[in-house]
Amino acid sequence: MIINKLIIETRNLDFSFHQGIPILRDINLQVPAGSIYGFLGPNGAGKTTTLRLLLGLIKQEESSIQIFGQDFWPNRIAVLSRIGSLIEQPSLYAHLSGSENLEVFRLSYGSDKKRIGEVLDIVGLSSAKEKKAREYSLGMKQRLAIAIALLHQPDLLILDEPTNGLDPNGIVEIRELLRKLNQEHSITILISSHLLSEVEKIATHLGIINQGKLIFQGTQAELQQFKTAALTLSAEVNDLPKATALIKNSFVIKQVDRQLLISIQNKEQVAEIAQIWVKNQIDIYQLALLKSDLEDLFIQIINA
Amino acid sequence: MNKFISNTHAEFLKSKGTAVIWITIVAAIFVPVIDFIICLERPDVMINRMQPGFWLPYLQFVWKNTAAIIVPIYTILITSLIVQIEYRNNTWKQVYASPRKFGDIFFSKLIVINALVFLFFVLFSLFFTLSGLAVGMVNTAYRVSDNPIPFEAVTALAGRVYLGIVPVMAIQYWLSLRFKNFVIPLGIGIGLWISGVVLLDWDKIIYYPYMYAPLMFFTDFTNHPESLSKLVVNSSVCFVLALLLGAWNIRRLKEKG
Repeated sequence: MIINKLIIETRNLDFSFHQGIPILRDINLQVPAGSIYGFLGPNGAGKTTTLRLLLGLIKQEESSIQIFGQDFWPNRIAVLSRIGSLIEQPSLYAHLSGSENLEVFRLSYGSDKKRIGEVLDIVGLSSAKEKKAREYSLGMKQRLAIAIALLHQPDLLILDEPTNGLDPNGIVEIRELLRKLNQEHSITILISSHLLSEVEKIATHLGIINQGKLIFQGTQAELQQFKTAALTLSAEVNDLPKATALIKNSFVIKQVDRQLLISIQNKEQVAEIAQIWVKNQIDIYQLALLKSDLEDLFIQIINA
Repeated sequence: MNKFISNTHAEFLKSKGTAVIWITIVAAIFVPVIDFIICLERPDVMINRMQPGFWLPYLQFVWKNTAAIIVPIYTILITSLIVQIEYRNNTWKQVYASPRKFGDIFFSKLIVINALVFLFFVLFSLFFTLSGLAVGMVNTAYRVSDNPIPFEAVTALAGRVYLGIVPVMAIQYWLSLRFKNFVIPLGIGIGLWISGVVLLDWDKIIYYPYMYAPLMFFTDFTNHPESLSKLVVNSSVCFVLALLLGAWNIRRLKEKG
């Protein structure tokens, strides 16, 4: 699959519900066409707010959001007619059957009647179409919500934690469905999650948001490099200028008070730095690996 | 326009299988059935009261409680119930994320509410006629069959009370969209209606929308014909104002769904 142009692009997207309490800061989201973009972050990081802004559920007409190369607000109807979405819990009319739920949204989207049967087949709910939505299991509800999102043959799916509350089998089912939609129907998918393990198996691209800031965006391989770059060595030595000069060509160094903060890739580099300094008569008073916020964040999204 | 018709069709479909149709039928049939029973149980009192000509006195008798109590309460309840379908099912976000204009969403749902309120008046007029005919069949002393059914008066009165209740529908629609909690619009609506009943003798009551429907029935338009045009104008202005303000306010909400 060729991935080149951007389907979603936000530029310096800021948002706050109350002045002085920013929810999102300087978000530059770039979702390539044809990708499965995993939007990761711990709970409360700003994922849902970002997705709601992308769908116009939060009104901020001055924000710079481009979808399909068009500014969102002036082209809201045209853009939304090419997007299928599932935000938080599935939006279903519990008193209506599966096919009636689809009919409600089919009328709004103006899709052909035969699409109801087609999307039910895609999500594997054809045999349960006459059952009331309230009788569906959570997994079936999620699948019906995805069927609704697919009714108008969208080019882009925006899914907010679609596997929330599902058992492991349900998670695998949804994952396979999304992979199929991406590969067989060429749908770009933006999927949010608070767990890396949920999206790493299918995502081609990842974005990580924390405390309202997009701290990483790129491919899975780039994420590995980014994670190792998260290590910081703190050093206290007798001669700061000389110690800095000795390693500045190989490392990024910052001086804070009487300490040097050095970005390193791995723990072996601690020994390497120590050897250079000892050889050059630098007295080392203390060397310590700092536990960065980023490290905490990875622990949260990897192990939560 | 085709899109608006499709979306309105979708809005009607959403109310399928809910209690709204049953509530409409029960609200429309309740007073005609009660008054039918009263006529059968107390012919000693009621035969005289239903003179002259049975139908017009019976029309007044059946409409009295309906205009004062049933119509306002029914309208307040049904408006909240229709809007609650979206809140209860957590579907507002899906509605607003569909390629629909704001005005389309706002007015297509209002059409459903208005259709139900209108249906109430049609059903009520039908049940009134049937209950009157049933009284005549069960007790011939009422001499119902001797008098023609005054369809014009039935329609005119229903039309007047309907005009009187549409501002309440518009205000309640605004409140129901504004507040997620079902109890708030319902409580405000019933509170305003009760306040209106208490204030009914107030000389400025003509500026109080929650009493327009009762006033459309209780005002003596034969002796005060100018009151009718005043009520119609006030009611229409209030309806349009509440709709415009409501649409403006809901459109401006920062977060939808």
